[in-house]
Amino acid sequence: MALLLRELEYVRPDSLEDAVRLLSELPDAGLLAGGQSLINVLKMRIGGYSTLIDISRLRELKAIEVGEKSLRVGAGVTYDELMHSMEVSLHRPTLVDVVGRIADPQVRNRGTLGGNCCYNDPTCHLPPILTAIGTVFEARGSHGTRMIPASEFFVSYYQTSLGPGEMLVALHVPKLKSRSGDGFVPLSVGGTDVLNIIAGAATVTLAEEGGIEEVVIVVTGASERPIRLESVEEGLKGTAGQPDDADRAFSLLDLALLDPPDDVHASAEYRRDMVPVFTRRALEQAMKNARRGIHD
Amino acid sequence: MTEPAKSKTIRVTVDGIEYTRDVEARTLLVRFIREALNHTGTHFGCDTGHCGSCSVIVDGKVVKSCMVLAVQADGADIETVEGLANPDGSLHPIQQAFSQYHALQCGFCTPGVLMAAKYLLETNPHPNEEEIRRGIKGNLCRCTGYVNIVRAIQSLANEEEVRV
Repeated sequence: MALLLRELEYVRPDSLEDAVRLLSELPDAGLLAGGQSLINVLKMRIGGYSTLIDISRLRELKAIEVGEKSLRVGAGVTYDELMHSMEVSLHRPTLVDVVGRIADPQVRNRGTLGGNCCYNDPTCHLPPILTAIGTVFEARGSHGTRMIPASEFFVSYYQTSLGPGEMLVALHVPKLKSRSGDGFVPLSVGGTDVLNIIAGAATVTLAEEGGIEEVVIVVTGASERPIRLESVEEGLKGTAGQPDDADRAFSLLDLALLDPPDDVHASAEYRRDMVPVFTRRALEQAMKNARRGIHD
Repeated sequence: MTEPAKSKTIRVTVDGIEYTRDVEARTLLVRFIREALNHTGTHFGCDTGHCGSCSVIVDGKVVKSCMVLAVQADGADIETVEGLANPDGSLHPIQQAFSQYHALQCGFCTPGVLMAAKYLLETNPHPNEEEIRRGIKGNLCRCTGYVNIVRAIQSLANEEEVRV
């Protein structure tokens, strides 16, 4: 089957400013970064644009900067570039681990952080972990810059809160605090890390005596957007995080929160049942990493 | 800055030969390489980014050429399977290893697997078995079960002196 793309126009602006201007001026224009999802969308004609604005070479989107409390990662950074970033390894090592699992070398060489987030595929790795660690998204439009917390950025299946003419330019990733750790455990089709049925992500900060001080637990694939299991988090805070504590906390899981899809990969019932299993594994991984103090 | 256009003149180097061509914006890189440049060694398999048979190395990075637009490769240095062997026809060490270990049967996936293997050995000259399997994860082979492909790559990984 030869899939021909619908005829379209292409432009490769030389600066971020030009890209933002074109995006607001051109009717029906879309941004092309790594294209590892978009090209398939265009082939399948699930969606389309009259003009593609190629932002994959914009240097402004490629920088990784270390701030006092967070890393600013350009939206155009590829998975492969992120995997090899010393700054990210030092300050949020879980991202290096998670991104290194995505698909395969070919996809990682082209696919970008920003592209993945804007596509917001419910089966992808990044939305849950980025939500759990409190990422803030920096968007640029003709009216200026807007900062959007992850909890508001990922709106629904394949939808973000970016408005028309707005583009994602960077991700602000909080640096890992001391006595903290992250966990990410996906249930992917065939264990391939390509298509997650659900995915659990967690981040935890321990008190000096070892109890749980702060905890965030997120799941994707169980609803239209990444959701936080706040009742479980509340149940865990102040405990030692032992198996008994986790049993009690997960018994508080509000099942009404979950509205999982029912499709060829998994039934809604199965997804619902797997939510406590995989989020608990993510929590355990986060606890282990926090206790160790450093990621391996 | 250039204006949006339905086609564009691009310049690419493929296996050491420089080409300048007009290309429609919607043309996939694999189609450009095969149909405009007539380098048919690179195979066009699934056309959905899954099989990896169209893998080529663009500016040192292996990519699936069905997932890249030709216009995006403007200015790039592209290596395909056709550039592996020497001009006298003698095979590249990776090709020799694939031959020696019988790492192919029908051969359809091979052009892509070879490029993935080349990239793997360039970025990690001594991969262990797990790293090899992860390195060729983007390439599907329906004949071999991968066992001999892994053996072939492993044989090069063990040789300190092999240059790829």
